[in-house]
Amino acid sequence: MADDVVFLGAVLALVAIGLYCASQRSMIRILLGIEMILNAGNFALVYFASSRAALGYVDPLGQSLAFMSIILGGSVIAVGLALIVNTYKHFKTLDVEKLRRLKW
Amino acid sequence: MSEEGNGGVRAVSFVAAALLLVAFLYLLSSSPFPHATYTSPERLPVMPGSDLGGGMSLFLWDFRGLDLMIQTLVLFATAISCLALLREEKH
Amino acid sequence: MAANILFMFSPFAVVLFGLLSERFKIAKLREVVAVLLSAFTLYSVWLIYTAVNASPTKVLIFSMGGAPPLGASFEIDMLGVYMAFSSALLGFFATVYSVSYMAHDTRLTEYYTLLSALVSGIIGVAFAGDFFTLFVFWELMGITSYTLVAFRKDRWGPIEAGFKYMVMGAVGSTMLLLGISLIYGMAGTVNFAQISSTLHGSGGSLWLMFSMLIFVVGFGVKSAIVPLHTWLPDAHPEAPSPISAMLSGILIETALYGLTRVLYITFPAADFSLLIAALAVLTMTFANVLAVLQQDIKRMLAYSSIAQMGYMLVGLASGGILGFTGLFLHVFNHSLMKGLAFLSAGSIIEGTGSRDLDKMRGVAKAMPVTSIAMFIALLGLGGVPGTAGFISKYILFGSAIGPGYWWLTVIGVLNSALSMVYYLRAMKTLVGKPSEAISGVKEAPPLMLGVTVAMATLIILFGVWPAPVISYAQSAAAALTNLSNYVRVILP
Repeated sequence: MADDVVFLGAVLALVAIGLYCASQRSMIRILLGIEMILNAGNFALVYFASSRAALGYVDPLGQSLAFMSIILGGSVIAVGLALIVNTYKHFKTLDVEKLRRLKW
Repeated sequence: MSEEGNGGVRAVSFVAAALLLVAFLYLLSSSPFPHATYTSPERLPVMPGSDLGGGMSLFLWDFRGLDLMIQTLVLFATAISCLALLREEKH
Repeated sequence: MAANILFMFSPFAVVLFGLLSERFKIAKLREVVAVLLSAFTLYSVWLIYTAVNASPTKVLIFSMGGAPPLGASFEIDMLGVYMAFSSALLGFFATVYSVSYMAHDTRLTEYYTLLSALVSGIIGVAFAGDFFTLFVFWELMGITSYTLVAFRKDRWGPIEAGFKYMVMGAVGSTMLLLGISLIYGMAGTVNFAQISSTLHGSGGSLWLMFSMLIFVVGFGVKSAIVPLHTWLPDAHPEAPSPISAMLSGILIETALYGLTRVLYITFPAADFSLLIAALAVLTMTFANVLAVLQQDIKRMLAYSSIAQMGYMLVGLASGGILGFTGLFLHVFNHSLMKGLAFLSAGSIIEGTGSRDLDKMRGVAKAMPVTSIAMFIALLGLGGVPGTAGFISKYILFGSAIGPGYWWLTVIGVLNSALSMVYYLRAMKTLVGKPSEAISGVKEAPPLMLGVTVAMATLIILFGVWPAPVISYAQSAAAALTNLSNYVRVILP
């Protein structure tokens, strides 16, 4: 139970910090926030897989899911960075507030 | 990095994130997390020095083979996306 | 008979032939290969449909190596085939249309590869039998659509729209991963059937409710539920028209299919129907009110898509066979009608050179066939009796009366009437007095024209003869609600 509080508290703290980062002005910080929430999800997967380690074994399913999800996160960040390069070419700034040309 | 006029948005998001964190910690303490009692029949030993890597790769290929094949499709789509977004054509 | 999923790897073939076509300067080779492969996808989905129909339990399991519930698998029931067929059909039409529409663009090899991968991703989400397979295909769907929205990267509009879409879509996917991890912690497995047998009737612990909220957020971003919809009115107009048709016609509906499947499997209906009903009212009203104020035709159609998602949420909130029949029937009809609307709008925009409704006044004289197709699409979207759209809306709003959501029916009918305001305004602009801006406009190229005529014919056909589509949607709804059969195939 104390394990739960510490680890799940850390997961949810990562989610909260990641959401705060994803609402910043700089595009790079937004990508970092997204990556942070992804890492929170991976962390939770690995924690739930190993939560019965006291009995001498771990569940391999959670670890494999975390392993594959890291690769997926890397792909999303790659496409995001390519989009940031193109945005910088057009708007000459990394500030999300300047991307307001499309009206409601 | 912060200018005038954006302090409001940052303050709101900071307060929202803090509230979220407090709500989550309350959730954690009020009701314990219902862990699963089911475990998969494949188990990996956790003793130090055991060959965890080999066993894990075997598990991945045996049971998650479909996901691995589709992951190659995702990596391929990522490569093509970066090519499409970053290629300069002289037209 | 086993399911053959070779068609999902067709992007590899497209890129091979595209590189050959560019290297050896063979004209039109990659277009022909792309169209042939999308037709092959349609044919393969048809074969899977016959296999599902022929199997005794009406469910097909496909896995590599280890068996489910531990191994990754496709669990293909009638609902999965239904969504996959809609997506393959719209993908075929969009590919044929792109041959003519994108003929003057660059980087076409990448375009056809990404379009083929998008169709594969959407079909995979429909077929997925466990959570992580769904997540991998979800990311495939997402990555290809972010790039395709930002495809015309020489102008600032698509880049801005693509970046906003990517940020919101990625946050939604990460929320989805968080929900998956919590469900894995609670159930010890990620297989849908096993989660259903473990968690379905186990009482509403606080963590289960919390994970339900996370799932609504995670699926709701891609599925354009208000207030998570803000990427859609920018992304759909700025994308190339065939991609707008794919996004609006099948991608947001597939996200709603994912939400339906996960919610139905894990939670009893009483837990989520009030929340979904409230979201339905919010989505419908907000989108319809904002659509009346639009001047850009593609932006108006984008807000109309959000409103149609609101109508489909009414079906999800009602539950039961009738509600789900209406939901899936509307998914199929909307994919055809909204696809046709975006494709014919693309033809008109190509002809007149502008997206503004004022500059399109009177274009019906110059482009008669395209305007008639646009008329048919808009009448169907508004739900005029005699079109396919009327039947699905009737079933949707009628199903809400049973479970006691009569206020949903009233609000839905009012919203439908409000939507006719902007559809009629668009139609009036098309047949108005021609302005000088459209002098010299000719009819659309024959390939684009052929696709719009084919889709309009299908809409009229299903409007006067709806029985086969209704029974098809009903078998899909029966497959969803038959949860015990779904579970028993994996865990006998």
